[in-house]
Amino acid sequence: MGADQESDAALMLRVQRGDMVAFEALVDRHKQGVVNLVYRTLPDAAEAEDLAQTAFVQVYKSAHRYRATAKFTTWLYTIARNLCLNEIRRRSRHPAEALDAPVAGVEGESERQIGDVRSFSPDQTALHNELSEKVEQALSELPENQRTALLLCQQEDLAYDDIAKVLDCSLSATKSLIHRGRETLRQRLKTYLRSGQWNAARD
Amino acid sequence: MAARRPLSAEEQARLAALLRANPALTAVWEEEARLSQCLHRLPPVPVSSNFTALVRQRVARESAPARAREAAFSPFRAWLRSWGLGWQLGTAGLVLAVGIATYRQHQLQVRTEMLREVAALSALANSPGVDTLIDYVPIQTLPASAAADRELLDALR
Repeated sequence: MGADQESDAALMLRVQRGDMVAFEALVDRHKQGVVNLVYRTLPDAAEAEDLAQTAFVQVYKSAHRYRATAKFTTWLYTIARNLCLNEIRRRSRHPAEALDAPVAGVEGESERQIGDVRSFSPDQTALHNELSEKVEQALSELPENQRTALLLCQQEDLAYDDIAKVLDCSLSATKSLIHRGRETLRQRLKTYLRSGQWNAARD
Repeated sequence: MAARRPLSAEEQARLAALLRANPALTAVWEEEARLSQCLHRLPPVPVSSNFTALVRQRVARESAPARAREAAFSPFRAWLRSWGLGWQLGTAGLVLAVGIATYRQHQLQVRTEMLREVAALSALANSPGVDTLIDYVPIQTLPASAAADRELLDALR
């Protein structure tokens, strides 16, 4: 069976044995979801990708702690979210420092590497500018836990149970976060949702 | 629920009936459906084409010191492993025997101490009674000088 068809848990068991091919398959499979989440938490494409890479490095380094009974995506998004929260806390303590500022004592931190291709296609850009900008703006104004819950629910199709684990809260609290987030978005995007502009632009 | 998956035919029928019965809900429902579409259709954030290669490089760079540490400890680990099961069981038995001996020694000490205290108590039982000792404190408080003895003798006279 190729790495493409293997389940996340099976790949992680191979990663625990040091299998780099399995690890790369996991990275390829989940990089988009992690970058999406991180970018919408820290809206800076370069920093989001750097943090997403850090999340995968953490996954590799902590692979021995992974148990196949746990869902891999829950574990991965928990790591990614914790990194985002740490970064937000760090920024609030040192507002003038950027992520790429060298941190003393952390090997390789100053050698931050940026990917080669990172831009929206013309079609994407047009949509991004016109309508999704409004949605992105409304999303960015939500409290972090509501936004993360909504994104994991709507974009990554995680089950409520799994979202609750990522957010470290109860199932009912998770449902409440999603409901409140949707309600706020609905109020802020009322004009667009009533006119159906989004559909018209996409279809 | 429709935010997570398309509704089944039965669910669609129930929803249509509900909306017919409550026309005011139709607008809310349409907004909800459009919001779900908006969120679902958010364009993916562009990811660099060498993302996976960069992660692999970072893993290689960051796990090198850990591998070096492991390599430094490996001769000790190999030596431990070479001991084999018999040696490990022997060591465990020795540790257990030392533990039992220490515990017994401790118990012996406790018993000896207890015996000593019992002996002291029985010696106290043989001492003079309370009546004998009743004047002990006044006698003890008398001054030790000869003049005091004379005063006492005079008084007794």
